[in-house]
Amino acid sequence: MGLELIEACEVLTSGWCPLRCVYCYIPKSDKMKKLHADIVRMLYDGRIFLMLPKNIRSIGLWGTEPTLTMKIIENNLDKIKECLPRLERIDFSTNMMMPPEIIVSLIRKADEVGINVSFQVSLDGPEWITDSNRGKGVTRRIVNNLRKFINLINNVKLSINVSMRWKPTLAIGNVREMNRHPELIHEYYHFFDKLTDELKSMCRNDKLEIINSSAPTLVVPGKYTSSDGKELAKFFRYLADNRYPNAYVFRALRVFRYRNELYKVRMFTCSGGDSNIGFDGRCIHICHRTFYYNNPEYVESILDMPEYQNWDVSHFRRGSINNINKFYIVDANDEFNIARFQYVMRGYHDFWKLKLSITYTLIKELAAAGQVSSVYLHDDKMAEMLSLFINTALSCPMENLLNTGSIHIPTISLIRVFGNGAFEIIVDEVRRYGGR
Amino acid sequence: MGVDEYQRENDELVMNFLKRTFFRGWRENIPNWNRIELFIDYVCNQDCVYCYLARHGSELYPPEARSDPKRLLNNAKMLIDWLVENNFVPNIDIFSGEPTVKPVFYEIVRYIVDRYKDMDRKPDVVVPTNYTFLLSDALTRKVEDLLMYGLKHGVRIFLSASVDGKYCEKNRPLRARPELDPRDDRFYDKMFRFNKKWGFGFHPMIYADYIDVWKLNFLWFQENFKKYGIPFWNIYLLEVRNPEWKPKQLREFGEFIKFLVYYTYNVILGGSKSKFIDFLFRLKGYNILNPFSRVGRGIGCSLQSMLYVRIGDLKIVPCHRTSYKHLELAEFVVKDGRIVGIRAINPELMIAIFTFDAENFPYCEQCPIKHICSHGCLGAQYEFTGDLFTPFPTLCQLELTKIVNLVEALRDIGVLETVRSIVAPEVRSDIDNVVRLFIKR
Repeated sequence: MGLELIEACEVLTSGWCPLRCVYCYIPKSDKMKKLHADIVRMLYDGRIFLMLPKNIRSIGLWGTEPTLTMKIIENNLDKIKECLPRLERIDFSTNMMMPPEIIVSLIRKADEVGINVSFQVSLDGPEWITDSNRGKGVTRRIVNNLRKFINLINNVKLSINVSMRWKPTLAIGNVREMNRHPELIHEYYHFFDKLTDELKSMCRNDKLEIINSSAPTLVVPGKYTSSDGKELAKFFRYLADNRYPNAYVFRALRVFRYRNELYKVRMFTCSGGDSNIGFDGRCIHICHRTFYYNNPEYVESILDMPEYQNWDVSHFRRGSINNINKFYIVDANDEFNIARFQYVMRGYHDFWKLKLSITYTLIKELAAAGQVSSVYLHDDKMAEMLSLFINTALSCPMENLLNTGSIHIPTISLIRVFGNGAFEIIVDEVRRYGGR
Repeated sequence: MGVDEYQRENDELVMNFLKRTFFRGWRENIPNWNRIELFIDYVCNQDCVYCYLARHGSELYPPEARSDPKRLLNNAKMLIDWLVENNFVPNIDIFSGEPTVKPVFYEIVRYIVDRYKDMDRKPDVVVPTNYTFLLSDALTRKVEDLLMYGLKHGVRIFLSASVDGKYCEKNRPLRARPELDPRDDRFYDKMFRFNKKWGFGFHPMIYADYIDVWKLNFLWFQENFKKYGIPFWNIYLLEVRNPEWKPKQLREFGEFIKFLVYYTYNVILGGSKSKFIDFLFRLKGYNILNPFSRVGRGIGCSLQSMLYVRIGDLKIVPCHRTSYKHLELAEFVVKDGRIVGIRAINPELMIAIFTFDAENFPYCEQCPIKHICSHGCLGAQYEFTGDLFTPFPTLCQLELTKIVNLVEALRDIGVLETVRSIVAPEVRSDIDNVVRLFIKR
């Protein structure tokens, strides 16, 4: 493939999902089942793994829900390990709706071949939030499956390391709800603390690490208004006052702590198109985000549907898909275009000035229009720091491309949602944690 | 809240930006924000080998948006009415595949004249054309009538000749029956006579194909300038910044740059250093020989000083070479036959396009000649890399070739020190970089 520097690969392994989460970035249509069947055929064939860059150390199972095809991955693990000698880890995100035996079985096989496993469970919080985002009864089923998983893994002797964490995502509606009823915020964190404690007390397998990653992330980039930004600030203030963990504070802390190494741009950008790529069996992608976009049947089916049936298909309408297919989804055998793709992506991962200066200007313009805090109009340092934050803690060349037409330009939605008080709280928190 | 509020805030942001920039520039004639382009069509009677409209026209301009001349005229009228009603007096460029063969072009320009003729300040109208109208006496009369009509009412209409010259016109074949191209010496005589009469200039493109005959071509231009009494400097040379330049062509290009300096200095200016400096800075050095003057914008082309409107659908686009669907910036909102507002489509890109500095482009960021490089054309960059802001390697080779040969030639004729003393410090630093890194002492 000519991608010797790639260390991680996100592989397309599924195309259908039993859930329809309100914020899922994959628009759904009735073509998904056929899409899934095609992917299953491709995986059975097994050649996809032979095509992966030889130096990768990590494989991510991506698509819709990886447990749907996990058995096939498991059956191919010997072959995968053989052709990828440096492989150290398999990771995936799961909705935990399928029987947990599937994951346990993969872990057994991974143990046989000596590959660590790491996965995150898409659990947004208590029933009032997870069920509302992901469907009725989902929370209960996830929790039951988690208990079952622990019981099963307790009986497996492992030499590899396995880690499991939560991946809670909040829609702005959830934030509003919690701001209206702050007791829900306590309930939210209590839910994760209690669940983690329960599972840890059940767990007797010392090779399994259960990580209580309860700090939520926001649906991004979204279509946020300044009013949404004020809601987020209110929420962050509450988290700060009550010492609840905030994922964005940790992300900002990393930037502040390693500020002496900011000249290594790629250390702070998302790995998509840098050390990590997406691979769908035929083409490489910046990451998993554009899987399916090169399937014309699927794209047509989404365009034929009423827009309201999916969360956001506005980029389908704006010709972005054609642009992405032409330049950012590249045939794995096309050496020239792979070189071009890498050259363009290096522009994102090795250089600061364009993205920082454009973001800075956007912040100033938003401030001039009264759509972010006036502090950004008067305090240039704060505007610079917010620009740095947007391009590091929220770095996503793929969403930039989809929404603005360039990997270098972030969305104003992100600036609005963090620029109305939330980032100011983050900066205060960073100071509290010892950053300067 | 939600999507409606999101759109409302985006619209407000775009309007706020435009009010402080173009709207103010159009009212107060502020140079960096004082132009608008009416992009009428992409279809042309020529099929130039390097032309982006010939290659990508239907992606840049939805064919259905150009198919009805009535709609084009109505949209143009609505836009001009909106400008006049708001006391906006921008200089107006009319851009199209060859405009003079399209009746709607004449109607639009006449409408501009009619609407502005009674205003105190009037716009200039600039029209790039390939001059094939000179092949028809009737069309020539029609063009001259239009020019006269503008003059009569105080609106100056400038044509600019997109003609590469006798020895390079093979890059610009006619679309119909190119083997019977009637552009002979008689045609060129007409062209020079026409431009002498009206005081118009020439803007030939310097392309990779036939670069080996550009010296001859340049001498042909100068010979005719002399014959018709046109000033020698009245030619705007611009290299086609496409990716297809090969090493041999780059070498030829470098030699041509040196030739331009030596010929102008020795033959035209009789070896006068002061005249050469005056030619370089006041008379703009055929454009191509003066990368040393700063423009006060982030890029040398008109991208940031002009609002580009695709007339067929009244969409605001980055420019006529980047008007792809997913790069549309905003659109005029029409109600009851009038423009009533502007709806944001991609406010992020709009603000980025009008405010970026090409010195910050990836790769350019660390380049030793970034202050004197013309930088890439965003359209060409997009066509090759898929990103507006990423320069491609052969572009860098082309620009480096130009700068190195230019600096070397200026040193040879003994004006480099004077140039160094005139220019901005960062430009001087880049010149020094060129001497230190690329020119043997």
